[in-house]
Amino acid sequence: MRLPIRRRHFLLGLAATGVAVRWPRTLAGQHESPITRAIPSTGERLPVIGMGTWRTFNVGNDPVLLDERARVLELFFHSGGRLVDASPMYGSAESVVGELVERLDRSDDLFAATKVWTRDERDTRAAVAESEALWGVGRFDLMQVHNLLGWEGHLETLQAMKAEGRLRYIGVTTSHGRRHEELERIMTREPLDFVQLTYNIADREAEARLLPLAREKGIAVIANRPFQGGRLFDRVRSQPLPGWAGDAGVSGWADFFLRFIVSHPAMTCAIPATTQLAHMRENMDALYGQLPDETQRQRMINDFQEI
Amino acid sequence: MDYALNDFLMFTPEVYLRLFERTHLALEPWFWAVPVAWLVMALLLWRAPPRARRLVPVAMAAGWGLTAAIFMLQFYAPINWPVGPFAWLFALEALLLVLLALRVPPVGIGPVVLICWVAVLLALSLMTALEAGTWQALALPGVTPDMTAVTTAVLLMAWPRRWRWGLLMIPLLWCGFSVLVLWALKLWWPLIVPAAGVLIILIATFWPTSESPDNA
Ligand SMILES: NC(=O)c1ccc[n+]([C@@H]2O[C@H](COP(=O)([O-])OP(=O)(O)OC[C@H]3O[C@@H](n4cnc5c(N)ncnc54)[C@H](OP(=O)(O)O)[C@@H]3O)[C@@H](O)[C@H]2O)c1
Repeated sequence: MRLPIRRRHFLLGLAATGVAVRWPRTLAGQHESPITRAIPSTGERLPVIGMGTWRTFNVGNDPVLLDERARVLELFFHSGGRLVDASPMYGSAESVVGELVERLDRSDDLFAATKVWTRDERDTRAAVAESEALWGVGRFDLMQVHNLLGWEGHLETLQAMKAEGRLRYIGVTTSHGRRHEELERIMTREPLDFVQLTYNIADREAEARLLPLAREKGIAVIANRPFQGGRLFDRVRSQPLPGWAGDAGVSGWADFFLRFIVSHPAMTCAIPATTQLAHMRENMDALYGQLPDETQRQRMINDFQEI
Repeated sequence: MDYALNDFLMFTPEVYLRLFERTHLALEPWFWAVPVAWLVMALLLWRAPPRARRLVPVAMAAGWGLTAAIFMLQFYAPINWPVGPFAWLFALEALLLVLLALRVPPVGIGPVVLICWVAVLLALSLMTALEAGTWQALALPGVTPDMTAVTTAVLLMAWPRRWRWGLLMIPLLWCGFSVLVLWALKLWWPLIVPAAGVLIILIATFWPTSESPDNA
């Protein structure tokens, strides 16, 4: 019989797998609080590092990989993470997250964010109900229209569902810099709680108009593809971290990339995805300590561009 | 910001390679009956009379059905949407093979040709195991889709050309799809299988009909 991995089993599980993982540095011994940002529409605070699930949590019904992902997810929650982002487009990711959150007994810590992804604009309620069943949640914290697909019809229904108390927050997503003009129009006209878009140290188009607009309109921003789908690491491979960054408390390149994103004043949360415990630990480092100021952000850009 | 081919992939190479191990485990202890069945089929093609050789397409049909039911519908479809519809095409191919068995038996094949093909197919079935670093990931024809498609294309050369064409469509579609997936996953060793499949299907399409006097 497969043992459920619950919190009390977690440390034991790590030792048993022989994974040389250390705690995110600030959790080891110190009692520092995670960095959080307020969701402008309510003031509720969210930890600035969340978790994506595209590719990484689409493991189907594989018992071995389900156990491995359970350990990754437990480390995420244990390190203070809350927002998990998925979509019906991500294969089995929604049902995997649902199964593992239940197994880990972490539903109280979860900020559940998923998407409506269907062309049929009359299908919103059915799509939400289907995702609720897969996640095992009674009500989503955040429901987003995926890649603006059928956004007009979906948003209207999502607004109604929010008014009925069936959803807590609503939003729209895009990625890869696509359809920014349309997104800008939607942000200007529609009452949104969240937008999700691609923002990282190499893809900074959102800085020009969308991020200032989000601040002005009081819309929370989620940064997807914070590592450009992993490609940022290929660019810095074998390059040492700039000396000043180490002195400023940046622990590695993952930490460097994430701190850059979440230090933007419009940013609410970044959602890196990983399959690996060691990577999750590195990513959660960015949830603690100091964020770079404007001068340091500029230095990060310059240093990265010189690589 | 631009899309790369692997931005469209829904799963990681690790999950893909695990499909082979899981299929192996699901079939234990019958897994090894599959290569034995293929050897029996080779013997039938070499020595058996036409009536008995009709068992070959029937066994191939069973292989397409088994692949669709376990590897594809049970394990692969939950992580890769297009695989569900493909599984039904696999079931259709199984049906076509049964019809073929009823209509025409394969011609007999000489030992040299048979040994050459067995060697090629054996080498191809090692590719996923090589990539995964475990024997458990061996890809057998009749159990895993790429090898089923490739082996079927090889065996169809034992039928007159006009009977082959219709039966080569689904293997070709599958191998083309699999080449794209494995390319995006950067799984170069396993990629050899469907790539060889496309090549063998093209050869099989135009290979002249082998006439056999006992082909009644
Ligand atoms: N339109 C949309 O709504 C949309 C579009 C794109 C993305 N998203 C959301 O945003 C999330 C994040 O984007 P993404 O998954 O495309 O890309 P990402 O988070 O930028 O990159 C993920 C890749 O980075 C690697 N990685 C993670 N942490 C690492 C570390 N510390 N060191 C080295 N490598 C590391 C992962 O590999 P390992 O597994 O080896 O760690 C994985 O291959 C998605 O999962 C999804 O939830 C939404």
